[in-house]
Amino acid sequence: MLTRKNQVSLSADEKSRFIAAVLALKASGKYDQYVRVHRDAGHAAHRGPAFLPWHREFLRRFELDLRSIDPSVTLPYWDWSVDNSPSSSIWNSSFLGGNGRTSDGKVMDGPFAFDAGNWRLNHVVPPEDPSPFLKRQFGRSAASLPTPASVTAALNETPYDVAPWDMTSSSGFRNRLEGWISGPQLHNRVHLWVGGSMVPITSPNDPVFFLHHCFVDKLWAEWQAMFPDEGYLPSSGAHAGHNLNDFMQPWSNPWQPWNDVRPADVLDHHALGYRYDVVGDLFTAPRMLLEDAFGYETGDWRVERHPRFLADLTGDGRADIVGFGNRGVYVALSNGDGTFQSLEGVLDGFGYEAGTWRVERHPRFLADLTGDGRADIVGFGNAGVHVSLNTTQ
Amino acid sequence: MPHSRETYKGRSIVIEEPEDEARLSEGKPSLAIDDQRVNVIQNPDGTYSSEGLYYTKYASLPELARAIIDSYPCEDEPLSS
Repeated sequence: MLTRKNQVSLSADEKSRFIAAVLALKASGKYDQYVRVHRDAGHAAHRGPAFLPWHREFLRRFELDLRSIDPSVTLPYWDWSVDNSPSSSIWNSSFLGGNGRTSDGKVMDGPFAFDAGNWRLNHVVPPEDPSPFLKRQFGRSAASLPTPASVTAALNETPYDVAPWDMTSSSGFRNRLEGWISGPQLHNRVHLWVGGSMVPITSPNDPVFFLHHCFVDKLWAEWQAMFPDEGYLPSSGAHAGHNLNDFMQPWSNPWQPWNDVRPADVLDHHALGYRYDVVGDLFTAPRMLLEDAFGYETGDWRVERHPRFLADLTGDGRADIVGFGNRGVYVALSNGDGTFQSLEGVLDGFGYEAGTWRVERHPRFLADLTGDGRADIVGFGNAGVHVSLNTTQ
Repeated sequence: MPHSRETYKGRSIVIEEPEDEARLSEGKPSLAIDDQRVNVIQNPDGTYSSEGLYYTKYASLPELARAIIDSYPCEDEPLSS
């Protein structure tokens, strides 16, 4: 299975191989097919539920074409919520090149600068922008890139989409991430912040398009992992091409006969043969699943006074939370799905005030002493070992 | 079709909109900048976008036209190749 990496973690060799493969695809004429297909797709690929699956398939095909040139290449992603500066390494002249010049946005450095001789835009949007050279105008159309908080807010939004299943949908993960809600935000905002050639429908003219959409795809994968019971919506009622089992359009020329891909076919990205290097595949993004408990501010829990452990107290094979607080032992039992029951005080003892137990002198542990599969408490006090057996039934 | 004309930053904007509701549902308004027609996108919430400004929207056609002119000024240098 391929692993798509954050672009900041690519080695110099990996970056140069990626650039070389993109330039070779451009020289072959195939790169421009991607620009044309994206332009011709229009609303079939945007402003509706198929936004995410359509681009997942688009990126998958692009990655396969790059790998036909260099099998070591995979698509990198650009986490624009973190690497959010014009001086971020993604814009180095040895990678994607930097901002355009002030007068007209023309990119003057890097492998995709027009003057370097390898990057002429062949599909543009006359009369608005007939320029054949790559442009970037950082921050001109949007002052800043989306924040990590806005990404988190989108990741916490369910369901996948809501009626009327278009850019006016007032909630839902898809329209939040695409960026039409209180927009332009998130995906749309990134296009605008980069500016220049990323602003029109021919935005794949700028190779950063693929790194941007790779991160959008990663966020979708994370959301899917966070909400495995929240499926794709809708199965009907959206515009043609946007329903679960519609064929997405236009997967026509120049890519026939591959015009048989539905959103349902691309929901499982592992089945498509790739994974992401971090969150979403090994772990879901962090969420707070037990509020007002065991926290630095919610309860004044301190590392130097109040050790906290994970142990199975009920014998169900699932870790529960055990904390040694000021007045004794507190637990939050696992519900078995990552959530916990409310914090409950269960024992007056082994505490900072109840017994004057100190972290630096009196270690406390949880271990099954009786073989019943339930953790008991063992504390090493001033005069010896203290045990509290688990009486959970 | 009613016309509206204005000059913005030295460039001409001409907008033609369908006259009545029936025609509005059939046709779409046309926008020309410097006598060149722009492909206007009518959004379902009544806003407008264009192929050149695809990832955002504007409340009216004049606003879209001015944004296009702001985004795509006529200052392209002669090409050397």
